[in-house]
Amino acid sequence: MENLSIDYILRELSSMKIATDVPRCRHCLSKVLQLCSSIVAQDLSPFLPPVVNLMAHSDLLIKKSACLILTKVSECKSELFLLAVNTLLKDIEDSNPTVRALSLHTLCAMKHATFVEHRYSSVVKLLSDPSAYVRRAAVMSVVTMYHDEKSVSKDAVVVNRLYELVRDDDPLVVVNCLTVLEEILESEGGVVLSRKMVGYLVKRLESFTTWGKAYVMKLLQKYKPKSEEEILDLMNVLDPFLDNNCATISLYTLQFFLLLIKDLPDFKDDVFLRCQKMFLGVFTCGNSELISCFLDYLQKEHKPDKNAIQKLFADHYKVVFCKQKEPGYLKIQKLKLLVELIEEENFTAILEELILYSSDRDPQVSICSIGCLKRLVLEWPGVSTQLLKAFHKLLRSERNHVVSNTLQVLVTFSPETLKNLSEVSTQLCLIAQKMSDAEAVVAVLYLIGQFELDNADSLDVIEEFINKFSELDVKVKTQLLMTSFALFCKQPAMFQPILAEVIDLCMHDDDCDLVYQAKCYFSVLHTDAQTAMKIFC
Amino acid sequence: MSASAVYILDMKGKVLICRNYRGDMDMSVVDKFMPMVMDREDEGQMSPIIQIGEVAFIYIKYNNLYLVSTSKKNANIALVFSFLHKCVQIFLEYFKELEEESIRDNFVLIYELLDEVMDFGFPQTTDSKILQEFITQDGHKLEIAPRPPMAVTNAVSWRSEGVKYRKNEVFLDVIESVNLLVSATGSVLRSEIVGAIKMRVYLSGMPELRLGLNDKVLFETTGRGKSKSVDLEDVKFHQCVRLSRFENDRTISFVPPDGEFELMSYRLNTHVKPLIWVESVIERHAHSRVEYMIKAKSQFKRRSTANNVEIVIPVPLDADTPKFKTTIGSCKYAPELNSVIWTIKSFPGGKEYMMRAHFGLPSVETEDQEGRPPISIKFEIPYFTVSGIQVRYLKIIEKSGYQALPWVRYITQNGDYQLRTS
Repeated sequence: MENLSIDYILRELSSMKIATDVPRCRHCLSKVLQLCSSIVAQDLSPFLPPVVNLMAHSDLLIKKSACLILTKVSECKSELFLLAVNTLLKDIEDSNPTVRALSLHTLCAMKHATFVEHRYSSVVKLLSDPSAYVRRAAVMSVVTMYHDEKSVSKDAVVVNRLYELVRDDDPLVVVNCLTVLEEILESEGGVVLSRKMVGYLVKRLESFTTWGKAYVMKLLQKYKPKSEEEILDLMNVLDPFLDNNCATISLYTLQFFLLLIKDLPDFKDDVFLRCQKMFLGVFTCGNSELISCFLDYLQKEHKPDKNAIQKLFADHYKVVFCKQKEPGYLKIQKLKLLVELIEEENFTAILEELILYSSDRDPQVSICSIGCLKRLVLEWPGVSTQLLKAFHKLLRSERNHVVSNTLQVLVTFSPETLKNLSEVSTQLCLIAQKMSDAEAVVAVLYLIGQFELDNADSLDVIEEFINKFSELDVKVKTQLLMTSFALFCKQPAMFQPILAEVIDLCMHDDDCDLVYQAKCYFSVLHTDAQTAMKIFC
Repeated sequence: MSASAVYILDMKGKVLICRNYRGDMDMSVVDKFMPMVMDREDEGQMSPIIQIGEVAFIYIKYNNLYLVSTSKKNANIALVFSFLHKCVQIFLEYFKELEEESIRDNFVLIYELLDEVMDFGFPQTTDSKILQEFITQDGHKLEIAPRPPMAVTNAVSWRSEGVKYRKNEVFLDVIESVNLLVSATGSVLRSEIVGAIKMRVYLSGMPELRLGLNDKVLFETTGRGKSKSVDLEDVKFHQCVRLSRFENDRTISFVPPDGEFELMSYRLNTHVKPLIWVESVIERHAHSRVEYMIKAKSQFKRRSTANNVEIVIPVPLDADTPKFKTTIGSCKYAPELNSVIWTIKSFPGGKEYMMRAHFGLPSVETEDQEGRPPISIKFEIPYFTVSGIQVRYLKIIEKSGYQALPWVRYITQNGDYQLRTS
């Protein structure tokens, strides 16, 4: 085990030899960095003297590490800072662009007054550096400056220079300028996008990095063309970006197009269909987070426009099918989309998929899938045999959460719909004895009250619950009361003793709502049983 | 997008390395991240974004690491995800494995990389070849050629001037991956071929390359409609390819980046017979045993051969005492995957092989956790493409006029290849 104590490293770094032994020095500095990386506050100020010395070292890696450590200890105060500033200022004049950029970065990262006073002149100077790499760094440093001292960086010299640099040869400098202008001029609405500027950016777009393209495309969304002709021109030029390698860029292009054609609704369908490949491509990309973002976009922006989604995916619904390894949240989103896509032709295939995931081991996925099944029951009254089978199977599942979820969905159906599902009821009594979570038990009790069941079985179930009445949840007790009443209304003779017993138990419960409810039932029955049955059933 | 900071955490939420980009947030805010992830996991509400107060944590998981980016405003979620994935890719290129160990070993290198890929929360250069110019670390995997001089102004953002090789060579790999999903009843739910042309370019100077394929559209316009050609769909190119020329006359011309990159990808939706078909009969006798009968069939031409075929058959968690019988290849029980792996080194076309497996089950049943995971297959068929795509020529023109050799390889392999079991 290597000695990582501060003292030891400090001793190593302070020794005279270290500056000549480059590998040893690099190693020691990396150990210091390891110390810095733990968030737990450690006082690293003892390292300052050797680190400031090493900043002037000729080895680039040592210089980099030293600068990085310096920014990490920027909180403390020290006379050594003056020495550090001088080193940095000297390096800003260095012939190596990497060194120039590095020292500017370091200078701007330090919040101490000694450093701050040199920032402005250094940044302005390096904004005109011959190396693109340094210009990139200088442009970004303007934001750092802006966040510390709002007035300085907004002055006309800097802003004008930034606007000039938008026409720079280097693509990254251009994009950096735009991001910086957007940020420091936020209060004035960001970069001014004239027609000329938009034309220029569109022409340069192809040369930008992926991130740059995405950023500029997002930026362009602010621009509102004056004439229809201009809109069409823009759309023609930007059309290739609708199926860019990077799906995010395509998405931004789509968003821009949708904004452009806000007043030309006829185009909307075409634009959307143009992106079909892109959407389908995303589903096979294997990056679940990205797929999730896209589904999110579709759900949020285009939910009202069900037709468009149908058109996009109807023929390719199989792409949307879930994969075993996908995380739960993605499966849920996919299932929600699938149910939107259902049609006569693909009904069986999608149903099969939904049934498969109804018994998923992730309870959330399972309930979502069963919820989708519910929608099918409501929207496709004709094809319910398959669905019935599905519910049958789900209720027989070995996993409790599946059964519980199924029950909870069944409960939400109207009595008319339930009649179509009456075959399911045969298993209810068995389930009632098996289930343990309150939600499921409430549901199953409710269903027992609703269906025409074999009375002897229901009687058994109710009796069993009466036996363990004191252990039950209040919700279950309430439901037990209501179910007994419902059963009584159907078969008064058979269920009268049971109902009496339940009402009696409820009236002596601790929960006052339940007591009140029981009393209410009792008094109603007591006054006029016939009318009461008519009202409640 | 603008990310305030990027962290790499281990499974317990301990910060391995972090880089503060904007300085607008307390770095210790990440301490709240892990407990929140745990909570969410318990409640079964996983999502890749977690919002705590005004801070949004956007994260991905890789191996046993979390890559987390914090953001306060205007973060563009999709882009942040892409960026994090890109970071993983870059790290992998630099040190093969991305895990706790390799992070500790490459501390300074990661800091250097993090410094270059992002500035003040905005992504900068993420092209690993260009990045290499700014990275001073030596001894890492990427160093093959002598380092080119610093690119001051680049005519193209993906290639530096002054690259030099003693021997000029280009390697071209045409790789087609087959994605397949078959339902438990044996009907094909999804079948698709994703192709990619990958290149390794070791060329000096600023070479101009032109690639000729047997592209159907090109053949039809040039009156060679009768020759064998393929209809490529959904073609995507690396940013170096001149799209306008492709649109005009279907020529693929480009100045390539140095080293390894993916030139293009395409998709084929034509229905092909699944290359390797598996039929399974599974007999479960609860509390005592489970028996598998697996039949694998190769449905491609006889003169091709699939290599290193691995058929992974999931078995119950609590299965024990495995027994196997096969007509070819070898079987291995892999308890860590809860699967049997049937390996066939060489599987010629038009053949059919059988495998039987037998497992004991305990009399006490554990709760079924895993559902019914699908059978998955890995394979590789060299010298063969499903689509029939062919490289007709690769022209290399450089102003110094050197001769360069192109090497072409074809491979078909499995992509996401799964067959559900009943």
